[in-house]
Amino acid sequence: MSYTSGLFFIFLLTLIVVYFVVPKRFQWIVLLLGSYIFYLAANPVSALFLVVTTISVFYCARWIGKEEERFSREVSANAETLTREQKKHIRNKSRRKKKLILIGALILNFGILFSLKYFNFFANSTTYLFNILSIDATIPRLDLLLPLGISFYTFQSTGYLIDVFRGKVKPDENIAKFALFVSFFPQIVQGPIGRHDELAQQLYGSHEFDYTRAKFGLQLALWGLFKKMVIADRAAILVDEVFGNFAAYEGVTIFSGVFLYCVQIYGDFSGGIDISRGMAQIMGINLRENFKQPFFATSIADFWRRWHISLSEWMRDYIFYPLSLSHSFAALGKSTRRVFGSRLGKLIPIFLAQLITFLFVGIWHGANWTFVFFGLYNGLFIILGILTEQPLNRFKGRHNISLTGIGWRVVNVLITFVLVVIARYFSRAPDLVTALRMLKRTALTFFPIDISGGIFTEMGLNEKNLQLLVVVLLVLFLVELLQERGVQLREKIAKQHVLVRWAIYFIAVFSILIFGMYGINYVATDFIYMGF
Amino acid sequence: MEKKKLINTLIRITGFLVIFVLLSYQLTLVFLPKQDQFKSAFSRNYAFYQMPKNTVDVLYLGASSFIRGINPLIIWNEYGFTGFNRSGSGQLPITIYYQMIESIEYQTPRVVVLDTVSMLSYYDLDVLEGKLRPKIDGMKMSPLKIDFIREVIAKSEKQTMFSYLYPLLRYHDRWDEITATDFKINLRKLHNDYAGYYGVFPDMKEIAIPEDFMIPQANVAELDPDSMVYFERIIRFCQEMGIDVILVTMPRDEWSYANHNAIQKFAERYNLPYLDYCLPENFVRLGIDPKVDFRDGNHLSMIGAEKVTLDLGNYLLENYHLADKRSMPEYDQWHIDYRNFMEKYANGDYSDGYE
Repeated sequence: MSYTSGLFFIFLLTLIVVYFVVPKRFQWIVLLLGSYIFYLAANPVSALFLVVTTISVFYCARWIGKEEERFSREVSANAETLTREQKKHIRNKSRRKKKLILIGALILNFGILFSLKYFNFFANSTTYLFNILSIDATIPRLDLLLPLGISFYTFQSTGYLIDVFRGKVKPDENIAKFALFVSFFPQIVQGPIGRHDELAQQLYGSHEFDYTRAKFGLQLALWGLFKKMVIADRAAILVDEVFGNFAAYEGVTIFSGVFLYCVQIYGDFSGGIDISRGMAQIMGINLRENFKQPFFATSIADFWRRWHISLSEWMRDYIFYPLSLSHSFAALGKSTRRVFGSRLGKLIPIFLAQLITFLFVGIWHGANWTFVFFGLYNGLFIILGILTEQPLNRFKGRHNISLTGIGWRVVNVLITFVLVVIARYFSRAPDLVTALRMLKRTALTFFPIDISGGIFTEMGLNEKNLQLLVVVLLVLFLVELLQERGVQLREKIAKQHVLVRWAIYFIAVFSILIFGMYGINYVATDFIYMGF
Repeated sequence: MEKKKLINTLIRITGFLVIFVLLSYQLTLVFLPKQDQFKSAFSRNYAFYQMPKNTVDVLYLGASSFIRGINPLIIWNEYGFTGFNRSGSGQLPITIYYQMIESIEYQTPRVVVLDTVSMLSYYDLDVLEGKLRPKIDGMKMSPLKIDFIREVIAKSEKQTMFSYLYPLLRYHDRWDEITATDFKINLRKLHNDYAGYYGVFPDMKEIAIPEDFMIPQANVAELDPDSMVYFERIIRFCQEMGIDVILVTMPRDEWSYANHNAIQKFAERYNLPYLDYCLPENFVRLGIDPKVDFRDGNHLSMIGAEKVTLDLGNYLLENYHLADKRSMPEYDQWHIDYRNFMEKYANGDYSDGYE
C-alpha cells in the first residue's frame, strides 16, 4: 500500500478512529494489527522474514538479559568469597557468552539482509573478478524476494539488541509488544530508524486524542505529500531523461539534472518521513526527525548530521564508535603516532573508522559499486574536512574572515552543495562507468553555459510544468530557510486568524490534488471523437 | 476530552469537510474537460433525467451512427409516439448495458432499439477509457453507477474507483490547459433539447459504395464474446421486464454480409427482429443516395437520417401499436422541441442540441 494511495488513506483513517475508540490498554494491539495488515498487504511471504527477525532478536535479547541477571546473582551471592580476579573472570566469561549470543543474532539477521539484498551484487562482482582472472566459473544470480523495509527493521531491531548487550536498555518482556516495535508501519518503509529507549514506551503506552497534536500531525503529513507528489515526482521526469540520455545534453543541463535528482531524492525521502512522522504524531507518537535542512550544511560532515540523521547516528553509535574505541584501533593509533607524529597519528585510526563507516553507509543505499564509491567519496571528504580544519582556521584568522559571517557561511554552503551534487552522480547512475562518463561530459561541456532554446521543455515537462517546478522549489527553499532560522511554522500558522489558517490548509490540500504527479495522464486526444 | 471541547472539535472538522466538499465540487466542474464528448454525454444524461417519468415509449441505444441517424423528434411529429436517443459517440457495450438498466429507473419504454455495430469488436477498457469517462462522469450517483464502475475497474489495470468517485483525481493534470471556457461552461447544466438526437449539422459528404458491397454470401462473421455478454444481458433484462427489443444496423459503407449473417443468427436465437439498413434492398427502398445521405462512411447526414428515422418510426408504429399522443397536453413540450429543432434546421445553423 503506497502512502499516496486512496486505499492507504482509508486504512489510516480507520486505524486512527479505532485507535482512539478502543480502551487505552488495547491501543498498542491496534497498532500491532494495523502494522501487520499493512505489511501483509505488501507481500504476505515477506512477513515471514519480519517474524524471524522479531523472534530471533526478542529471544536473544531475553537470553542476554537472563545471562546478565545470572551473572549479577552469582556475583552478589558470592560477593564476600570471590576475589577481584575471580569476579573479573566470571564477568569476562559472562560477557563472552553474551557476545556470542549477540554475534549469533547479528549474523542471522544481517545474513538474511545480505542474502536477500546483496547476494546478486556479490555474485555479479565475483563472476566479473573470475573473468578478469580467467577463471572459468560463474556464480549464478538468484531471483530473490526483497521484503519491504528489511534494511530499516533489521537496523532498528539489531540496534535494540546491541543496546541490551551494552546494558543501555532492558530486554522487552512481551514479544507481541516487541513485534510492534519492529513492525510499526509508519516507519517500516522508509524509517526513521528508531531507538528502543525513545520509541518503545510511546508505542506501548496509551494516548488521548489531542486536536492540536492531530492538526500538527496532519499538517506535517500534508507538507510531506506536497514534497513528494508535487516536487519530487515532477523533478523525476527531468532526472530520468538526463540520466537516461545524458550524451544528448551539455554539461550545464546534465548538472541541472543531477541537481534535480538531489531535489527529487530529498523531496521523496524527507516527504515520506514527514508523512510517517505526521501519521505517528496524530496517534501521539513522536518519531525522531530524520532531516534538518541538509542543503544548508556547511561541510560534508555537517551534511550527514542533517541528512538521514537516524542512519548516520546508527552508524556512528554501532559502527564508528565501537571501531574507533576498540582495543585494535587503540593499538593501531599507538603505531601510527610513532610513524606519523602525534596529531596525524592520532587521527589515522579515526579516518579508517570513518571510511569503514561510510563504506557501510554507501552499501546501505544499494547493492552496486556506485554506492560503494558514494560512501567512500563522502567518507573521504569528511576526512579532508578534518585534515583541513586547522589550516583553514589559520587562514581565516590571518585574513580576518568572520566564522559567523553570512559570506563565509554562504561560501561553505555552496561548496558543500556542489560536493553533494557530485556525489549524486554516483548514487543515481546505473553503474560506475556511466557516472564517470556523465561527470566527464559535465566538466568538458559545462562552458559556455547555454540554456536558451527551451531545451528543458523538450525533456518531458512542458513550459507550465517547468514554471511550476521553479515556483515549488522556491517554496521549498523558503520553508527550509525559515526552519533553518528556527521558525516553528506550524505554531506560527496556528496563531493566525481562522480564515488565514483554513485558506493555507485548503491551498495545501488542493495544491497536492491538482499539481500532484499521480494517476493516468490526461491526454486530450484520448477523448476526441473516434466514432464507430 | 471534555464534552464541550469534543463538540467544538467536531463542529470545526465538519465545517472544514463541508467547505472541502463544496470546493471539490466546484473545482471538479472546472476541471472536467469541455470537449464535445463530455458536453454531449452530460447534456444527454441531464435531459433524460429531467424528462417527466414514464413518458418515453421507445429507447434508442447505440453508438455514433445511432446518435446522428435517429431523431425521436421527427418520429414524434410524424407518428405521435415518444422516444429518447441515449446513444453516444464511441459508446461501448458495457455503457449501453448500464444506460439501459439506469433508464428503467426513470422510464418504462415499450421498445428498445439496439445498435448492432459494437457487437463485432473487442473493446479494451483501458485503451478506450476516454470513451467511458464522459458517460460515467455524466451519470447521477447511484448504486447502479457504483456497480458500473466496479465492473469497469475489474477489467481495467489503470482505472480506480477513487478517480470515478472523485473526478478531480482524474482530471487534475488539466491544470495547465484550463481556460476561461472551463469556468463558463457548467457541464451539469447542459440540456439536450432534441430528445438525445445529436443536433443540427448541415455537413454531408459523398461516399463511394464498393461494388461488392453486401453481396449475399454464406460466411458468418464472429461476434465478439466479451461485447455480446452485455447485449445478452440487455435482452434477458428486457424479456424479464416485458420490453420488446429490435436490432438495427444503420447505413454505412463499412459493413459486410458476413456481419449481417452473424447478427441475423443472433437475432433468430432470441427471436428478435433485425433491421439491417445496409441491405441493398433497403438502400433502394429508402432511396439512400450516397451523394447526400452521408456525413462520412459511417454516419448519415441529416437528410439520410430523416429517411431512416421515418422508416424506423413506421416500422415501430406498425409492429408495436404505439399510441399517438400528439393531442395530449402533457406532451406539449414535444411540439415545442420539434419546432425549435426545425427552426434551427431550416436556418442551417450548426447546433449541438444544448446551446
